Amino acid sequence: MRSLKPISEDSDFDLPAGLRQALIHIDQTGSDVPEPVDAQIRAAARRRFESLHQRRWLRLWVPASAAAAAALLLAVFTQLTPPGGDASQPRSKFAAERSRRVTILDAYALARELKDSDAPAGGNGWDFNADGQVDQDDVQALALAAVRLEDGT
Amino acid sequence: MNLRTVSYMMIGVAALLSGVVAGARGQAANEYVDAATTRFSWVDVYVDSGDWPLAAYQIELGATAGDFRIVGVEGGDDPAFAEPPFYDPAALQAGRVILAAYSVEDELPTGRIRVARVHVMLDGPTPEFAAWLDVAATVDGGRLDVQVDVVEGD
Repeated sequence: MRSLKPISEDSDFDLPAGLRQALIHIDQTGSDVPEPVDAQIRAAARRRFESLHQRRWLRLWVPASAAAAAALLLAVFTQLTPPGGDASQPRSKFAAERSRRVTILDAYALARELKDSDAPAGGNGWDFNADGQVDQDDVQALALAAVRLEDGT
Repeated sequence: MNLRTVSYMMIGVAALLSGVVAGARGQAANEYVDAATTRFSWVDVYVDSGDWPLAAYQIELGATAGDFRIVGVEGGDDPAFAEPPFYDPAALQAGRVILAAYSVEDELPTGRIRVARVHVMLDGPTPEFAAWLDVAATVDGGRLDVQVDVVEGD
């Protein structure tokens, strides 16, 4: 058993008087702990500290490893995914949303109406630019609306 | 194999894969730098309406890979579509454009015709241009399922 620094009356420990006297008594008289008991105590202490050390290691490394793996997966997916999406798609990704919008066919229909008659069958329903008249300006406005980029990019 | 060994292996694999990704990005960047000479080219847009007279079309032009900037748009070969098509001026700053035109002329083209030429500025590797049909119509306004393709200039 390792020797310890003896506790004396003038030690700096701030201990209750009773405990201090008891410790001084034990220190002066010695403690006769059998060697097998001492070995068991040391073995139990070793197991306890190894367990604590392993748990601390798990608390540090498992989250760190998981975070590194997650960051790596995110980096791989963001860097290897083409910005334009799936290039194998035959149709534009904007086609569906534009199918419900004005198209050049609207401009073409009004242009035909204006060519065939001064008074289009649709009446003021064709007044796309809301200027009170149905004319080539509305055709232009319809055509420009058809080609407008929604997101400006 | 205890947990410490497994964790070391995970860190090692993560570092290795990070290096692979970083290497791939570096290689792509080097390619861009190597080819970073600004140049101008054009893309011809063709529409094939078969036996049907083509009266109107609306097409989106873009690139499935690579970047480009539009600097100008011309009309096509046929007199009915000789004028430049409609397009959004904002497309000059974008990597895509919607082209559309119609004709109320009596004589309308059939078969495969060039409907537009788009002049582009390239800063990197040559993009893979592509065109998608939005709508097309024949003389009575009936919709056509036309074929669209692009041919890149020299």
